[in-house]
Amino acid sequence: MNRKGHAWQIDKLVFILIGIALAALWSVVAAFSVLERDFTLDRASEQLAMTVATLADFNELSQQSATPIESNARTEALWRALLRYPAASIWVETQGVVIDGLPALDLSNSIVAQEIRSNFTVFAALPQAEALADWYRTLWRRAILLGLTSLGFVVLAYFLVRALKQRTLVERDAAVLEERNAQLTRHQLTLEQTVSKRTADLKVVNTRLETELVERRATEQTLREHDGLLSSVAKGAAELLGSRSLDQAIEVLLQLVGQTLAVRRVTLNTVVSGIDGNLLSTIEHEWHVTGLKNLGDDAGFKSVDISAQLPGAGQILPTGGIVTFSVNDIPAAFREHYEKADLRSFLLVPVHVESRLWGHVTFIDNAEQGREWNWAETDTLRTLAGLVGAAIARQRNLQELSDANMIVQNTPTVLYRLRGEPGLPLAYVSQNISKFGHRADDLLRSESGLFGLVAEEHRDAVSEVMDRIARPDGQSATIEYKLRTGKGDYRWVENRCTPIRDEQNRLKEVEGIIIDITERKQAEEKIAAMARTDSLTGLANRATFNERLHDAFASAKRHGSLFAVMYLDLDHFKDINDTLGHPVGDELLKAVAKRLQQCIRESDLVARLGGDEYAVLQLDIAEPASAGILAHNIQQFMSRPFQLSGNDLRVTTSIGICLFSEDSDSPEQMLVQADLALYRAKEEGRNTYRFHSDDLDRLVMERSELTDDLRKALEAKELVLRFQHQMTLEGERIVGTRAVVGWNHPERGYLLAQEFVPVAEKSGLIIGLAHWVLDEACHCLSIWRSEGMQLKRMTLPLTGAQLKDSRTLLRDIAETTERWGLKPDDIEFDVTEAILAQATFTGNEVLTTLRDLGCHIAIDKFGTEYSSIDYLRNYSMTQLKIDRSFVDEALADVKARRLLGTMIRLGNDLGIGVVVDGIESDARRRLLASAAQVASEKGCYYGAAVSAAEAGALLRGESMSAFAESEGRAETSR
Amino acid sequence: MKLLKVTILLSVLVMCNLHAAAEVTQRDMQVTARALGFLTKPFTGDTLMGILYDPQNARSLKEAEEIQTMLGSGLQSGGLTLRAQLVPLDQLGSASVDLFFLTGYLGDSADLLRASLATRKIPCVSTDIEQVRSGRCVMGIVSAPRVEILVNRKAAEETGTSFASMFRMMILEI
Repeated sequence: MNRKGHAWQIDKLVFILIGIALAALWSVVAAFSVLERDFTLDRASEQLAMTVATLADFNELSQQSATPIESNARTEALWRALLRYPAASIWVETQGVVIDGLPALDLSNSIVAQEIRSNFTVFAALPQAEALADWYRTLWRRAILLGLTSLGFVVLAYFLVRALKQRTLVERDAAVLEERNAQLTRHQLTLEQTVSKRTADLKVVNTRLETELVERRATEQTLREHDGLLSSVAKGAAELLGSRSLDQAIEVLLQLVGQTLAVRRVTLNTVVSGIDGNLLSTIEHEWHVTGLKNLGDDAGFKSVDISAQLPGAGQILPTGGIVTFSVNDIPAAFREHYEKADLRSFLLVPVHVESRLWGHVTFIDNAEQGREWNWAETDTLRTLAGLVGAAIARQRNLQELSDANMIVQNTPTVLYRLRGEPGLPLAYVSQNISKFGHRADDLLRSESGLFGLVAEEHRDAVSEVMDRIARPDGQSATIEYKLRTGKGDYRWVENRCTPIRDEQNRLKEVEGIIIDITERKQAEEKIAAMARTDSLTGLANRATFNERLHDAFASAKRHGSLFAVMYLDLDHFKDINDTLGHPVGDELLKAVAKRLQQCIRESDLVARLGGDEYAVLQLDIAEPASAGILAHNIQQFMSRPFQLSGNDLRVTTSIGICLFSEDSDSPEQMLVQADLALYRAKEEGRNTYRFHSDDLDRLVMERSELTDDLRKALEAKELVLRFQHQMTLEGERIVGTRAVVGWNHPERGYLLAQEFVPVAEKSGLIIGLAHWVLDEACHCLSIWRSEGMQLKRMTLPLTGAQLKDSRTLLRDIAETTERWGLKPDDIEFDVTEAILAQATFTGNEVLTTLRDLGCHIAIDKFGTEYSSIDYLRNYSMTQLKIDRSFVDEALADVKARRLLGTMIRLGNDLGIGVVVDGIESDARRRLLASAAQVASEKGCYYGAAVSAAEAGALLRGESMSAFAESEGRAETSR
Repeated sequence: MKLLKVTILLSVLVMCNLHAAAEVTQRDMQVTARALGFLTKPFTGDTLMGILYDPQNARSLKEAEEIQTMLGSGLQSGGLTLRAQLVPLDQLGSASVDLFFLTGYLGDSADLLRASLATRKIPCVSTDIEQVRSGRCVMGIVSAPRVEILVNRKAAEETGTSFASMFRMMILEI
């Protein structure tokens, strides 16, 4: 580093010196050049002065003599000057006038010389640049020379520095080489010393190794024996672990070890404490070389007091020590017995089970002076004894486990363990899961484990509990759910699970038990059911009825739905009890309950309130009459005889009904009102039903009777069809006819359709009624056509109930028209705007289907309900039927007349036929014609309704107008 | 004594003539330019000097070209810049120049030349002293070893050429 720094300093010094020298040289040359410039200018000025002086002299001489001057030194000097400065201008002036030569134009940068004489002046002017031309050239040459010189110096300095650097490097390398040489020399000396020392050490070690080799060979011999012993012990250990019989395994073990150790006998003895505290040893297993007798068969070696007979055994064996001795060490009193058995050399190794002395293994040889047992043998035998102890302990534990498992198998609980991993996979489940029809192995293999058996409705709850347990703060939990059995049914179980965590509070596993609680659950459900039902009849009891009544009341308050409460009891039930006994009375109560349940819908509720009192909750009823119908049905059903215990019993019932209304105060009040209505029914002769209101009573009774009558009327052929012909305004031509149903009621007289059709709709009789009307109308049309009458089509009304049962309607049309030789094209349906709105709202496609079949659709009573132009377009209406009310108003009011005209023109503009109802006089026909201004072909009206015979007569061409007028009035008056 | 001097001068001029006939130098041109500055009506600015040569004589042509090369783009002397233009002898009459420089080797055409110059009043210069001596040329120039100028007075008068008084003291008029 220092050398390098030194070299750098020399480099710098050389360049600095060169720089200084060059700067000095340049400075000297520059100063000299400046001086030289001044000198050059001075010399030029002098030469110009000499020139003008010479020329002035020549000029004066020329004035004095015409003889030219001979060439002399002065002339030559003059020419030298003139030729040296060729740019110099020379001229002669006399009194300011140039007489010879040319004056210089610019004297500002020129050297000017003049020679003034008496009558003239000679001038010479030389530009400074011309005077310095040579100097400039010299200056350039000098600068180039100096630059080259400087460059030479720099190059010289470069090579000089380079040479210095190389010299420095060489010196450094030389120093390094020298240092390395010195180090090598030192290393060589050290190495020589080390080699000498190591050689000496190796000699010592070699000597020691030779000694060790001898010892090692001996040790190897011992180890080989040890290995053989270990091998035997290992085989014995494998036998202990693998064999099903511990006794057999021990026998094999003793044989292996005995053969390996080359002893004559090996025994395994158990030890127990005697009364005096001495250890009594008994041979349990024994091996000996061939030809010897079993010691165990010798009575002298049964229950040997080893504390007394074997030296040190009583004290050393309990502490885990090994005892060795020879027969000579045995007390003399016992020695002879051992000598007779040729037992001379002994080694006793204690066997401990669970830290307590269990027995000992005894190795016996017949060496006279006692056998030498080396450390390898004693260590291995100690291991052998440990293995025997462990095997005995293991067998004990297995037995205990087996016993515990047996206990678990016999309990109704299932034990399980889940691993503390995501998803809590099943790690163990006890075999008694088979009680649920599952195999533990199958569950352990399945991905879902026990969770897959949880009933669908309980899985969320079970997942939630498991998630909670898996959390760091999760605690034990108990949950009840239904578990799927192997047969596919479910049983209720109680699952108690506990999280097991490590020191870091990490979840290791979840342990739990599953207990079958199905019986308990069933008992609970039975108790709950018993609390809600009447024990005698199985019906709901009063509490349940009240609960459902409250719910119905709240729902009705919210949604405005209608429901009814019925209170009923059996008339004269007390007499039955008194005469036939309570058992028959109870049987009757149960039979009544059964019949009541058959009368109601699933959504309704019947309850026994006590004694012979029952209550019915009828929900979601359309109108008050429904309650009356149900009450009537119940009474009818109850009036049938009961066959009980050989008795033919007939009972009647009285029923009180309370309907929910917006004025109803509470459920309790409704029950009271139903009870009051029941009293009224009782007071008014029993076997009847009464509403809590007179008006309702009357209305419902009337409806109910009418419904019954109508049902009979269909069979009794009391219904009739009447026909209204559709006629053109001009020409009175019949273009169609409309069928109108009527009822010849045996008591009430002739009833118009509007008086009984709503009842038919409410009671469901409308389908049958509509079918009858269709069939009858088609029959008539068929007859008329067969008689040669030209009638375009038959118009029939279409009801909302038919619309809902569209399948029946379409089938009826197809079958009926075919039956009477007609086509659907011959039928036209009158549809009110309300029905159209209903069809549109519910998306009912039946009208479109009817159109597709070929049926015609007409809007009836157009303008009275929900008029919409969309109906005309969407359903391709064929006719627009204007209600008679418009005609009535048009007769009295001009605006109404205009409105009527507008409606007719609307139909005409849309290409739809227009039929006006209520044209029953000439005045009305004229009014219609003037209001509509329609052509005869497009304006029609309906005449009065007539019987089938009269309609046929009209079609045959009999007087129509007078007849129609009279009949129209007659029809209207009804 | 005077006769001796004239003799010596003539001898020198002959020697110079021989020399001049051999080669025209840069110095000859410088002396010519400087001498033209001493005319009583000196040339100023760009002055075109016709280098008259014999196109039939290769040596004459070579000398004319050498003189043109010497002058280059112009030789300055005082307020005058002397430029050269080669003029073949057969175009003498049509050349538009300010003066002529006669090269050597013009041969028998010298008489024709004199008549023409006199007619056009154009002075001529030459390093060939014989041309001045014979009156064909106005001024003869010798620049080495020293400057000597010989003027033919008659030829000068014929061409209307006159010199400043002080210059006349430096030349030899014949």
